[in-house]
Parts: sequence; C-alpha cells; structure tokens
Amino acid sequence: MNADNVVQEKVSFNIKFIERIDWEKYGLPMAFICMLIVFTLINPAFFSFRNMIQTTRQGAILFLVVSGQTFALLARGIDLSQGSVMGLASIAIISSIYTLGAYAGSIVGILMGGCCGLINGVLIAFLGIPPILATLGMLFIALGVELVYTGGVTLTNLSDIDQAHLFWFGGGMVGPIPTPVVFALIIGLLLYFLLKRTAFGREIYLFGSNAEATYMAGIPTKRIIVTVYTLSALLASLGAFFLTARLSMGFPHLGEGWLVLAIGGAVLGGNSVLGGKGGIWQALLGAMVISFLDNGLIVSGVSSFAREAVIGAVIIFACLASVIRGRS
Amino acid sequence: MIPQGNAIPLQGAKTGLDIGFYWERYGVIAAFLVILAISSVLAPNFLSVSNFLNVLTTMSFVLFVTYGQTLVIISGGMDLSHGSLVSLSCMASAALVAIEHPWIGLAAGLGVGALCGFINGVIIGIIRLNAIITTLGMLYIAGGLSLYFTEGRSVEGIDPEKASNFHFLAEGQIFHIPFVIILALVFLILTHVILRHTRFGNHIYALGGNEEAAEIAGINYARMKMMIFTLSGLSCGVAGSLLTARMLSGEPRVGSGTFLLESIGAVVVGGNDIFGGTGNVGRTVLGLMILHFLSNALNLIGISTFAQQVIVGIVVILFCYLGLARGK
Amino acid sequence: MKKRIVVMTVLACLFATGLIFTAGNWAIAKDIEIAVMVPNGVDPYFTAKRYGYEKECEKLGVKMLFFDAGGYSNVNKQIGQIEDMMQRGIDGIILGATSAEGTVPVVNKVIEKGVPLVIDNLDSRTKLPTLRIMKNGILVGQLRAAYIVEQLQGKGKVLLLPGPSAVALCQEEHKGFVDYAKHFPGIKVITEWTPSSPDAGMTTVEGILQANPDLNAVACFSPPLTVGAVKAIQASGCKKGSVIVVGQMLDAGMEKYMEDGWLQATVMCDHIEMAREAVRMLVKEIKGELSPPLYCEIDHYLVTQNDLKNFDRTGSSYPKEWRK
Repeated sequence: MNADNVVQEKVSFNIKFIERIDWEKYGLPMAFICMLIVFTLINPAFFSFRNMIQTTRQGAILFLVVSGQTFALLARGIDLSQGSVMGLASIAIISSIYTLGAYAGSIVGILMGGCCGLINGVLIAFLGIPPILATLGMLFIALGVELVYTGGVTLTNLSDIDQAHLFWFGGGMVGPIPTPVVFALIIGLLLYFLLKRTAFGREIYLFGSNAEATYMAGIPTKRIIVTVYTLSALLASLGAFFLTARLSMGFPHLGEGWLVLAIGGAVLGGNSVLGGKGGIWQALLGAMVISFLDNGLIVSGVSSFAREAVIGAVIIFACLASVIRGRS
Repeated sequence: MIPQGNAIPLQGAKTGLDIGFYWERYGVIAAFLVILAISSVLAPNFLSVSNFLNVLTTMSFVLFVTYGQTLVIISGGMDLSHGSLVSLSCMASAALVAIEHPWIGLAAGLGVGALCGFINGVIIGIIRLNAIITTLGMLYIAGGLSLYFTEGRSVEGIDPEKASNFHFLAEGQIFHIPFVIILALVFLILTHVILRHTRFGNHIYALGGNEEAAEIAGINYARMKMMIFTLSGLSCGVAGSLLTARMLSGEPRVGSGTFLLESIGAVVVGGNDIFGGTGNVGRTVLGLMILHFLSNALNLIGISTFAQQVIVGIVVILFCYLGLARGK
Repeated sequence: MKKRIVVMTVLACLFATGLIFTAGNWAIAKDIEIAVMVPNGVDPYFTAKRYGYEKECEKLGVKMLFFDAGGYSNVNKQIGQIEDMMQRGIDGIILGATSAEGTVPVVNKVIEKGVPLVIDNLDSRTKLPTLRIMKNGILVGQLRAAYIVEQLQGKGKVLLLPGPSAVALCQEEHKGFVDYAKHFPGIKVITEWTPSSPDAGMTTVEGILQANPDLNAVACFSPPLTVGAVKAIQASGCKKGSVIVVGQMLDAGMEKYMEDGWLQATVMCDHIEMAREAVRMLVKEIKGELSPPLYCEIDHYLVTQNDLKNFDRTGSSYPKEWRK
C-alpha cells in the first residue's frame, strides 16, 4: 500500500463513519442533549439539581401515560379516552379514599380507571368497533360519568392521615429520587420486558404490523386487543394517581390537555401511528423531550402563548428529521 | 379482525328484501328519524320550524369544517388541526375586518386557513410525514399563534355599521331562512360534486381505497395530498370567518372546544368508513345532524350538560355496533 | 336510483305521520321559567353559584333551566343555547358570557326582542341597556397588588397567574394588578397566563421558582391555581410564609392552607349571594318592577388568616350536603 491509498482509505472511512451513525436511533437522544445544553446556556438555573429532579417528577407521569398510548399505537390503534380516564381515575381515587383509606382507595380508583380500558378493549375486540371510535365514545362517557358523579366539584377534604400517606406517592422522595420516578422506572422496565422479551409482546408487534396474518396464524387476537387497551387506561390511571397524590385533590378535568401530549409524545419518541414499530424506550424518550422542553421554555421566560407553538413545531421537526434521516 | 365485506347477496340465493344492504345504506337515516320522533315526544317545542332553524344555524358553522374532514378521511387520512385552524382564521379575519374593509378580512380568514392546510399538505404529500403527526403539530402551532399576536385577548373594535354586510353572512336571512344555512347547502352541493362528479373526487376515493394501487395507477400522491389538505384548511377558514361574522369579534380559542371532535364524529357517525375509500358527504351531514339534534333535544328536556356527554358517547358507540358506522 | 327514491318517500311518509301524531305534545309552562347560562360549570366558582341560583329560584317559585357552555371559549355553543331558549319562549335569561365581545350580537337580539336579561359576572359588552351584576375585576387585581406591596414593603418579585388569557375578567384582574404595581418601582411583576387547573399552576410556579429563586410572592386568579402554587412552593422546600400567596375565594382546600400559613390572603366576594341577587333582579324585571339599564357591583374584601374565624360566610358558602 502506498501513501495515496492510505490517505484515501482514511478519508472514505471518515465519511462512512458519519453515514454509519444510526440517525434514526440516536438522532433524537442527541437532539435532546442539544436542547438541554441550549436551555442551560440561556439560564443556568435550568440545569440545577432541583430543577432536573422536579422535571423528572412530571416527566415520570407523562411517561406512564405515553406508555399506555404506545401500547395502543403498537396494536395499530389509538386511545383517545386517556384524558377522560385520568379525570375519572382522579375522582375515583379520592372518593374511594374517603371510605377505604389511602392505600385501598388508591388501588380501587386505579382499577376503576383500568375498567374503562377493559370496556374499550371489549368494544373493539368483540363488537368490532374501530379503536378510534370506541375510544372516542369512551372519552365522552368517562367524562360525563365523572362529571355527573361529582357535579363538577373538586374533591378535597382528605383526612390528615390519608393525605400524608397519599402524598408520599406523588410528592415524596426515595432518597434523592422522586417517588413517581422510581415507580415509573420499575413499571417501565416491566413493560419493556413484556414487550421485548415475552412471546406476548412479540404478538403485539405482529398484530400491529399485520392483523390479518396474526389472526390467520392462529394467535388469539382478541386477547391482545383487550390487554392493550386495558393497559393503556391502567397506565393513564396510574399517571393520574401520582398527580392526584401530589395535589391531594380529585380534579375532574385533570386529564385535559394530556391526551394530545400523550399522542404527541408517543409519536415524537418514534412510535409509529400505523403500528408495529416502537416501544417503551421510544415512549420514555418522547415523554422526556416534552417535559424538559416545557420546563426549559418556562425557565427561559418564553411566554405561554409561544410555548404551545414551539411544542407543535418541535413535534413536527422531530418526526421530520427521523423520516428524512431514515430515508437517506 | 377479519374484514367484513359489503352485504352483497349471493347470486340467485335470495329473493325479497335484503335487509343488510338497506341497513347499511339507509340505517343512519332511519336512526335519525327515530331520534327525531322520540325527541318530539319528550321535548317541548322540539318539533317546530323555528327550533329546527336554530339548530341548523348553529350546526351550519360546524358543517363547513366537516366537509373538509370528509374529503381528508375519504382519502385515507385525518386532519387533527381543525380546531386551531378555525381559531386562527377567526383571529386573522377579525384583525383585518377591524382595520380594513370587511371583505379583506374574509379573504384573510380564508387565506390563513388555506395556507395552513397547504403547509399540512406539503409535509404530508412531499415529505410523506404521517397525517396524524403533521396535523397534531399544526394543531399546537396554530393554537399557539392564535394566542400569540394578541397575548390571548380577543380582537375587538369591529364597527357593526361598517361590517353589517359581513355580519349578514352569519346572521342575515333570506325569506326567513338564515343565510348561513343556505351557504352551508351551497358548499354541500359543491363538495358532493367534487367528490362524485370530478376526476379529482375519483382520485380521492382511489387514494383512500388503496394508496399503493392508486400511485401505481398514476395518481400524483403529493399533488393530491396538497390539494386535499388545502381544501380542508380552507373549510376551516370559511368556518372561522363566518364565526367572526357571527360574533363581530375575534375569539382566540373559539375552535378549541368541540369543532375537532364534532368534525370527526360527524364523519363517522354518518357512516363513512374511518379508513377511507368509501362514503359521501351526505352521510357526514346526517352524522352532524344527529349529534346536534340530539344535543338540542336534551337541552330542551333539561338534561344537564354532564349527562349529555355520556349520552353522546353511548350514541357514537351504539351506531358503530349497529353497523351504521362502518370501518374494519 | 328509483329504489332510492321509493325508500326515501316511504321514510318521509313515516316521518310525517310521526310528526302529526306527536305535534300536540307540548307542555305549556305556567310558572315563570328562567334560563341560567354559565360558561364553565366545572369551575368551583360556578358550581357554588349554581347553589345560589337554585335556592333563590326555589324560594321565589321560579323554574330554572341550567346551561353549561362547557368551556370559556365555547362561544358558538353558548350562542346556540341562548337561541334555543329564545325559541322555547323562556321568560328570562341570566348570562355569564363565554366571551365579552363574541356574545354581543346574540345579546343584542335578546334585548331587542324584549326578553329580560341579567348579565352576571362575566360581561358581554353590549351597548344596549341591560341589567348587570358584576364583579370589579380591576379592583380584585388592585386588592391583591395592594396586599402584596404592603407585605413586601414596596420591594420584591411577584409572579402573577391571571388565569386563561381568553377570559375578559382575567384580563381585567391582570390590568388592575399590573397598573397598581407600576406605582412601586421596587416591585417586579412576572406574568404567566395558564389554564385554570392545579397541575398547570404547579408546573408553572415550579419552573418560575427555578429561574427566580428570589421570588417573593404569587398572586393567583382561582382556587385551582392557588392550590397548585402552594403545592409547588411546598415542593421547592421554601419555608412557610417565605413566599406570599394571594388567591381568590376559599374553595378546593384553600382554607386549610390558610390556617397552616401557606396561603396568606385571598380576595373574597359573596358569589352565592350575587347569584341570588341576579335571580331576584331578573324576576323583578320579568314582573316589570325593574327596568334596564342598571349596573350593580358587588363588594370585594380581603380575607387573611386572622379573619378566618370571624368573617361572614353566608354569602359565599354552601352546605356540604348539597352536591350537584
């Protein structure tokens, strides 16, 4: 090998290295880090330990809801009822706590929220109603039921003991880490294993990619559908639980605005709307980007009007970038 | 889920009335009439010309938006940005009506809607980003922009004298029929003609039926998507401008309530396939009428708005179950 | 095509027969019937007022129909509700407008038709003469600002959460606050417009506290925002009372926060009494005893921890058993 060849090989190696970076996989995390750097430059207070911790607390809740939506998206569906289910769960939790105490009441409330998902799943799997319509109907029904039950009143008046027990879940810490983050990490890991390491998880991906083929292959598709939507509602209810615990009150409209964030976060992270592609890692990424973006904009002093537009632009650009990179 | 085909009778196997066929085609109308009949028994003053005109008037404003949504859904997509585009058009037209000639304001409202729709179309058609992601992002961006320019305040200062012709569009009457109903009817005929009697309409159905086949057959995907979403945005522009005419002011969040849910809900309750490829705009109109007359009857009976939510949700699901709203 | 026409005709005939048979089923209302329109029924403020409306209607023997537009900007829906009620032949309307400007045309129609109207709290900026019973948004803002300025002795940083920007009342309270604070150059005001929900209040205050650890006070439009602000302050580890919180009303658990010292003051008004007065005004107008224009303003007063035991609550609270 003479000198020219060596130089040429080095140059072509460099170019190939850039092309070889899996942009689709690393693009978003890199953009996320860039975003953190930019916000820290604008206001160093952004990167303070306390701010990071507080933002992850909110991010954990969003992660749970986005994970739920991810399951629905993976199965080539969508869950429009998540916002209403959050409000219903919030009310159910506080009401149950009145009679059952903090722990039992919370579990009952979360399960009630999960029931909405169960109903969704049954409607979709057994009655053949398209997911978008079934969950749209549930959006109205869940909202109406909890509004009729409460008359729109916020539920407070927890006894001191209950409030203290409950608050730890939403506002407390495990060492230096906020409680919701710990729970979210554990649940996230469990969900990850479910999706990537079990047969059932693979069935979900298969179903999302090609429902007919999955059915023909003899896999019980109804089971998949019911599970997916129940999980979606359960995770949304869990998210509502941590929020409710932190606020110590049942707020009927708790979920307002969360649905769009959940879908936005799920797709931003890389889940495909057409199903079969994505997962928990994508959900985590999407939730973190949105949470830190919102916090960063507040800390940077951007007005709330501009914030909304910025979040929308970011969602589009993030998805655009992954599409373009993925193609070239 | 195994897809259910049309209920085409086997050759020579049946004589007499094929219920399935008629159910699919006319079931919605029958259901609508049943609702009307029950309402007229239970609700005082329901069955009167002025009540119907009232309902149709309020409904007409939403109707424009549903025309656009029909086009998008039949072509296989979905437009989630409708709520914010209505708000943005309302603000834009109000701003210009206040300082310039009212008809420039009208043009501004239409233009803004069409422009945003065009941007949607470019991203979806050329860059091939998924419709749900794109329109979701546009929902945020347009929503933020509606608030940004006035810092959340409404646009005031429209002189009722100068704008009286403009106001007539929304509140005037011809032979005792509100003008806006006539406008809605005209646009209905326009949309129907576009869908059923032009090549463009044919291509819309083709795209919705089988995207790949349509492209292979020579339909220009990018151009189609751009035109469809521009029209969808334009329909929001019409609605927004007319709302400005109705209120003689610009309201930054006017579309954020029910416009989006109603536009999608009307399309599916009327019996159009959510996945596209079939359907017509008449069904959409029927779907919206069902939603609005139901709400009107419940108002007249005196049922709380909370309970109404539950009823609307049940109706949506019921219609699907009865096979009135189709979709795989 | 022919088949379709046949089917349509048959259905139309069925419809017509149904029409004929049911045409006579209208209830003729003999009592006075009024419609109450609120923009956002889930707001605790309006839930409380509903109690006032109901009780006063019961007392006066008047039938009440209650309408919720479902959100502060659902103008189209509210316009539809108003027109529905005019169509029903309602005797009078109490209106909390979804939009100050946007409801003007329909309100003008109501007044021109001679239907008695009382505008309650959320104004509709019609120029025609009508009865109004209103809060003074500017005064509310000023009360908050005055309290904070006094507590801070003219120097400090304040976060103002005026609520949803699209609500005219919030704009007024914002103006009142900011204009008052302008007279004190040592006071710096940061404004954040948010929806009136506790988690929005919480995340916003958290973020602002991060960027401004020297924040001295938070002024909030509504109970949900106040609760969210208190929660954020608690979570940030600030000492009780180191950040002054001023809110409005005493719902959603605010009273406990005030007792414990996290909430320093709140602006009260007798909103339930206001609702009752609105009903009284409307009935008088229906009976011809009162005619527009009339502008009633209700009192606002500041309640602090010391006042909690003593101040008169009859105009602003409802019994716990009533839950609608």
